[in-house]
Amino acid sequence: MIRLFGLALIAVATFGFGALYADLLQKEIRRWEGFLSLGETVRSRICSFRQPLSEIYRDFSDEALDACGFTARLRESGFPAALCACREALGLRPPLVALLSDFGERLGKSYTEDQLRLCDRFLTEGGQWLTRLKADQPGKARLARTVSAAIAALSFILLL
Amino acid sequence: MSVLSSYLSYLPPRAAEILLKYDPDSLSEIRLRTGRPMTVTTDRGNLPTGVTLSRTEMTETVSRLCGGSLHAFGDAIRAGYIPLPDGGRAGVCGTFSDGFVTEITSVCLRIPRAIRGAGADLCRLLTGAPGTGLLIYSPPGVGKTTLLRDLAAALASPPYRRRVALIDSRRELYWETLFRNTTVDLYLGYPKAAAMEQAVRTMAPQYLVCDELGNEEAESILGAQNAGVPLIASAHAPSLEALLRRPALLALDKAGVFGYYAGLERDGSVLRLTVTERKEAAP
Repeated sequence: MIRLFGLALIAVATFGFGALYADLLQKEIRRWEGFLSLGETVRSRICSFRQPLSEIYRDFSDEALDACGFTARLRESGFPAALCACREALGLRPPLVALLSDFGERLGKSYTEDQLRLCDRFLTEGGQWLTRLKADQPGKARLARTVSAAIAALSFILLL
Repeated sequence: MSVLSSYLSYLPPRAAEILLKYDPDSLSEIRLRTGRPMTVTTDRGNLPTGVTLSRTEMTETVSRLCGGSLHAFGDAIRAGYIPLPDGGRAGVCGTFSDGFVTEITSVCLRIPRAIRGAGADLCRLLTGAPGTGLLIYSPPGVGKTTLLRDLAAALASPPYRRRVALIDSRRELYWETLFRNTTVDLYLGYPKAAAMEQAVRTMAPQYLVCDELGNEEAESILGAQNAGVPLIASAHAPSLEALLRRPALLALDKAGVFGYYAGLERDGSVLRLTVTERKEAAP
């Protein structure tokens, strides 16, 4: 009985890992959309009002970025520090973090025209990444679920 | 937080550390330069501190002065200053190219002096003669702005509590700690002439206060005078005669805009104020 319970536990955990991975992929997309929304907000506020970043950050909110504590840190200590502090919680792949890091480091360091160019570059590259993430996500999620389900079933059969 | 300690928070740590060794009351200015000595100004003159800022340190200092948002200060930097959050400003200069200051190489932080009571006599004089304007004159660096700031704060504080429209186009006059709890309405960063017109039309001030009168404001001042709002202002001039040689100021004098002229002189560490009443009344 205990053996059966242990086997069931292993199967559920393996299957759960696949589901969790699929969920993480979905969260990564939502967070990346949040960053693009932040980029658009920064761009429009700089373009229209030349607003200081602290004021822009104060007004900005995004569900996915709020949930991992990024926006709170952003308001407190600015973009580079918030990115550094929430790197793990954001769960973004390294090229995305590098893109954000580069964007954050340059924000507020030059005059309006240059800042607008910086935002445009970020939004273009970020948009391309979003397209790629969205294209990859269903396949990867399906693969993760299938593989984990297969491993779960196989381990159950082998250990039975 | 004192003005000096707020200034120190903008500076590179090693520069701030050196400045802590000076008596805060003796400092009137901190001047940072890229690749050249950082100096402080005291009664003993411009003293080198032994610190020379690197280009990176200067860039970081400017970024802190701008609150990490250089883009929000492009126009002010072009005009030679960065306004600071609690009032006051940092004077800046450097390399100008294609309409932008491409590199800031010098930053001047003047420590505003609050000589509480310095404007009290003038305040009594003005409130005793309703509708009368005042022009404070002196050579640069003597203390016109300090006196004007103190006078504005006194007029807008008990027992007078007048509605004062403070027009601070270049962010030299307003200082948060001095004007807290006063009846001052602020026009920060507005062009002087436009602010005077707006104030008279929409804010019903009892006094207009502005620093450094130039020729271009004369027409707006005459408009405000017609509306019966007295003006308290300052202008660079070594003497009353020299002041009235300037055509715009002579026109204002002829129009009776100022009932009093207050000349400020520095004799060593002593400030002397001479008030002259305008002899002829405006027609």
